[in-house]
Amino acid sequence: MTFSFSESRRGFVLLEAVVALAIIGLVAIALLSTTSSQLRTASKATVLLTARSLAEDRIAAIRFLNYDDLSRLPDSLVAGRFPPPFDAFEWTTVVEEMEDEYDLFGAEVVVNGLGESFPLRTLVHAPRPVLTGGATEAGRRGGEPAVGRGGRGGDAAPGRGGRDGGFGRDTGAGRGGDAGRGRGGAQVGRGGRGGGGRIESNEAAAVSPAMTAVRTTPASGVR
Amino acid sequence: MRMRAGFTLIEVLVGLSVSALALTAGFAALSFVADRASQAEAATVSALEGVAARELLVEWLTGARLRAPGNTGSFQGTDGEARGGMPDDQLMFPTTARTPLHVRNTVVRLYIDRDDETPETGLVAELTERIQDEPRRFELVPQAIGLDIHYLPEAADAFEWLPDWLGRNQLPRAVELVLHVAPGDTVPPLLRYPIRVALGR
Repeated sequence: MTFSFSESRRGFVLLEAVVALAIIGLVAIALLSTTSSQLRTASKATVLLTARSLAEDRIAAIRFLNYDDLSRLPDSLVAGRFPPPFDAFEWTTVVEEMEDEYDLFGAEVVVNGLGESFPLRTLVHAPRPVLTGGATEAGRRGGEPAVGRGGRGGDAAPGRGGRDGGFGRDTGAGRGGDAGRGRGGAQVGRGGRGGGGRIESNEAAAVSPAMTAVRTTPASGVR
Repeated sequence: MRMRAGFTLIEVLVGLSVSALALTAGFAALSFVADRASQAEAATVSALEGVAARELLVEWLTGARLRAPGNTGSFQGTDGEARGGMPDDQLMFPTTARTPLHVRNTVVRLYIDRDDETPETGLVAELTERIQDEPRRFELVPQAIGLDIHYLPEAADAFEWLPDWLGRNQLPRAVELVLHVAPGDTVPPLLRYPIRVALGR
């Protein structure tokens, strides 16, 4: 009787200790896993923040390309690895011309590194080169909206047309009337010296009927 | 009844040493975790600082204009080496981006302040609305010890960055800012990476 009582008492104490240990263990595991998931989140945030800045840098790098480069992206921009201290990150860039949109490109940069992947998409507008040799006609059709510049371009174009095939490029870069017009003059001057014969348009001209007329011609020919 | 008399000295000692071992291990693990946590936090804060400074500069530069209305300033980038051996480049530009001045047009001057007598050091932005106003200065990257700025000309076939942009009647196609920091400095790594901005697009 005494023996069995003392026996059961000892067993109970052991069980108590085991249960207490188990409870302490569970609590400790819960606390540690919270902390470690917090740590993982923090380091993931750091990696993603860095990846985002790097992706934005890549987007900036394709933003100042012109139409030709965007339609055939230079190899150095397609994919690569960032320089140290970011050599854990690499990028790939895909640029596609948007269907049914003029001169609008969809660009996607994906930065991978340290187990994370950060995609960043944007639209880039880069006006395509405009044929200005047949530009006599285009210029006439385009008429007034391009005013001074268009007129000058028109004047210059017929003379040059035969010599250099009349390929001009529209970089569409003109920003603000003054700059655009000043540059237009300069380009015509260069054309006269036998250069590329380029006529630039500014953004106002890009939406004018003149440009639309010029652009629909190749587009309707293709499609 | 002898079974219920209590623990022997040996039992107590063994129990104490076991719990001491367990406590030591627990503390070591905890302090390791705490170290990692503070490291991770520092890295996140550093990345955030880098992102914030980069985005501020990108936003201001994206809003850059050739001239401010009323000719209070124009886009002028000076090359430090060409300017009497000064080590740092300098860039002044009007911008329509939001700045702490809360005006439509702010003229921003970015430069490196090495003068110990001024309260600012490192990369400083000096903001004015009009020339006669007292400029307000903001320390952007106090750890910066050098600044190189390059400009990409507008010509479609030009891919060479120029060291300065003076007296031009158009904006460059893009601007690149490279900050220099002392080796081993705690500057956010993102600020060691060049900041490139396409202008006016």
